[in-house]
Amino acid sequence: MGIIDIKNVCKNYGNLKAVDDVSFAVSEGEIFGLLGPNGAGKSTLISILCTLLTPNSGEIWVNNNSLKKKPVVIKKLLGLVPQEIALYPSLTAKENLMFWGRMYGIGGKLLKERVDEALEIAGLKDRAKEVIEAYSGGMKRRINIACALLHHPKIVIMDEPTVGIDPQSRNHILDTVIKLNEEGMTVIYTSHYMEEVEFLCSKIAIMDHGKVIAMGTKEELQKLVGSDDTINITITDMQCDAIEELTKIDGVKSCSLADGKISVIAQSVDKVLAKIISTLDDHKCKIQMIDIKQPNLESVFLHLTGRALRD
Amino acid sequence: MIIHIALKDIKVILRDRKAFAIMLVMPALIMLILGSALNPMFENTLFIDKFSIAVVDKDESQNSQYFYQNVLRGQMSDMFETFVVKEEKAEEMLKNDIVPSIIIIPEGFEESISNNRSVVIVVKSSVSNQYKTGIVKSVADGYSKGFSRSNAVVVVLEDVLQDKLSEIDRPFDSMSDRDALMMDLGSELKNNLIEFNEDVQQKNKSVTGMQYYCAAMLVMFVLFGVSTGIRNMTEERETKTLGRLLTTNAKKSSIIAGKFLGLILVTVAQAMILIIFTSIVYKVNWGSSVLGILLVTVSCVFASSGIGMMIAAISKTAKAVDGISQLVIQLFTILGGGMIPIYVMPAVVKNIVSKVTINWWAVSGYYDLMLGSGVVDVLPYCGVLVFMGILYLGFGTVKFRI
Repeated sequence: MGIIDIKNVCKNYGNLKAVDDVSFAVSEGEIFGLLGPNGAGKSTLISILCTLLTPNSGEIWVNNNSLKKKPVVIKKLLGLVPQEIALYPSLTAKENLMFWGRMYGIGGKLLKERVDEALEIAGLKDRAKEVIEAYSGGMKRRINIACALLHHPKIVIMDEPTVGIDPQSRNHILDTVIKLNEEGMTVIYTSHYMEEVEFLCSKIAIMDHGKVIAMGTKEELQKLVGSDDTINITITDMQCDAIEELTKIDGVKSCSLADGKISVIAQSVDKVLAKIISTLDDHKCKIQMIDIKQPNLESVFLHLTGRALRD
Repeated sequence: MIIHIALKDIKVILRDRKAFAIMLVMPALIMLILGSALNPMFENTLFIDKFSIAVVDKDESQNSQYFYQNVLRGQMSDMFETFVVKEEKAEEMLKNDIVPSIIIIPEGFEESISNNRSVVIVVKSSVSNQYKTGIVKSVADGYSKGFSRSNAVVVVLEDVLQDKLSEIDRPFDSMSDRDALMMDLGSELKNNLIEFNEDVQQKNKSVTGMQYYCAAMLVMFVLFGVSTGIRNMTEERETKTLGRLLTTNAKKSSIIAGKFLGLILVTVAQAMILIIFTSIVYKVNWGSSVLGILLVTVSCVFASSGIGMMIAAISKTAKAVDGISQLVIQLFTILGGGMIPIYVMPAVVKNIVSKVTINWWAVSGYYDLMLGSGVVDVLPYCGVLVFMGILYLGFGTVKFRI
């Protein structure tokens, strides 16, 4: 039994199955990644885990406490970093942290210590007295995370914590997650950025249309697509029938188009690359860039769903 | 937990310049504009032209004649014209709105005066002109009380003199005995007569346009203040801040209670600042009962916050809150007499529809205080406002989604 056990959880909105019979376990001290495109059901599952939504069926156990029976105990074990910047823009970073600390039941000298500690983690101690609305997107996200750490939770749940921020803040957040994990915190990290999940997570569940379609370590998931390579080609003047032609090439396993990029999965780049280029050339497609990648979670998702992760 | 949520909300609203302008600057300006511009309308209607009233003298005694000739035709001749008619004729005139009120001097009027019993003067009024009928009622009421108090004074005199005379069965042997007797009599008479005079004076006052619109606009901007608060609340729901609160130790009930408390504290402060500001700068007389003003204000804010919570509960977005709030505030203000005085409205609005609004009850409370009423007189208004607040808040709490 893990620190979190999710068994056959379902959540429906009318006919829509937002979470469809999801089961998995998270072990203590690991960084567990929930990967999936927007609308896959990740945020709904997290809302259920944080007691914000009630599932239609299924059971959740956190640190051996049933979510149904002991939601208050479970709340104290969790720290939620929501996808939205859930802060008060007209209050300063320090005032926000003080408020959230009080909401977690911390007071007096301990609260001041925890706020200082959280500001240190966010790397914003020198800007603590500035109002949140004056912060950049990345700084707001860092305070958003810091607020969830004030009560020293056993488990931190981060829902898309790096959406729309600068690379510097993104790196800071990823470093923070690693540091927190090294200190013993269990982290559930959801994202649709597979690079982040690949970099951080020791175990990953891939969700699509409310279901967990694959789960395991990065290596285990990559085995699902074998040793296939992914060729990403950025093109202009795309002809629709070019994709069909590409899939007919010997050695090409699958092919998809998203955001002006063609993703081709092939057994061996060396064997197919020349043919791919000549096919695109025949269709008068102008190639801007070719990027070749070894098997990764993107290709796993493509393999499992026939769609790219950002579709 | 509740206090921390309330304090945080107060801080958030205080830092919102737009909210500050809506809550304090705009009302101060609008009160000045409406109060000054529409004051002549009030002078024409509330300091009313001379009007006629019918008098039915059923007693036909010396005292009833005295009351008719000296009080109604004498002291009150500036205000109304009187003529004596039979009761049936008077009732008909009242029914046909020829006179706004009739005064009936009942049989036994003189007997009551002679036997030191309380004196009753009956006033029947139409509902179409509450200000004219109000004046007639207060005159009749004042003089009934006057006669009754005079009788009470006679009783006091008899009691005091009897006691003293039984003690002193000989002529005053020193000046101090006589002085003591005179002082006792003096203080008893003073207590009764001063009370009577003040009563009559207070009842005859009326409000100015500035007073009326300050009260009406105060209530309207209390509602606007509340709408600013609930807009913030809905924005918090949209940004998932309320949802995040639920992942902490705070329960849904504590969150709602904290939000409600914050809303009440901010809006009471807003109302009190406006009352103090208008009384100092615009010289508006809000009445002498500070407790009464506070009570009406808190009740009005409670009811307004209740309706605010209900709007927050039924609105999905901050934009919806804005739309519904604007509609409710404008409708309530118009129907409650906040834009045009209530007495010029159709009877159905005046007597029924207006009473559904928070504005009517709150403005009536302030209006009574301005006319000299005390805390006890405004308790019914406060009771209705608190009842409305409980109803709205109950609905809002049940339906509120975090």
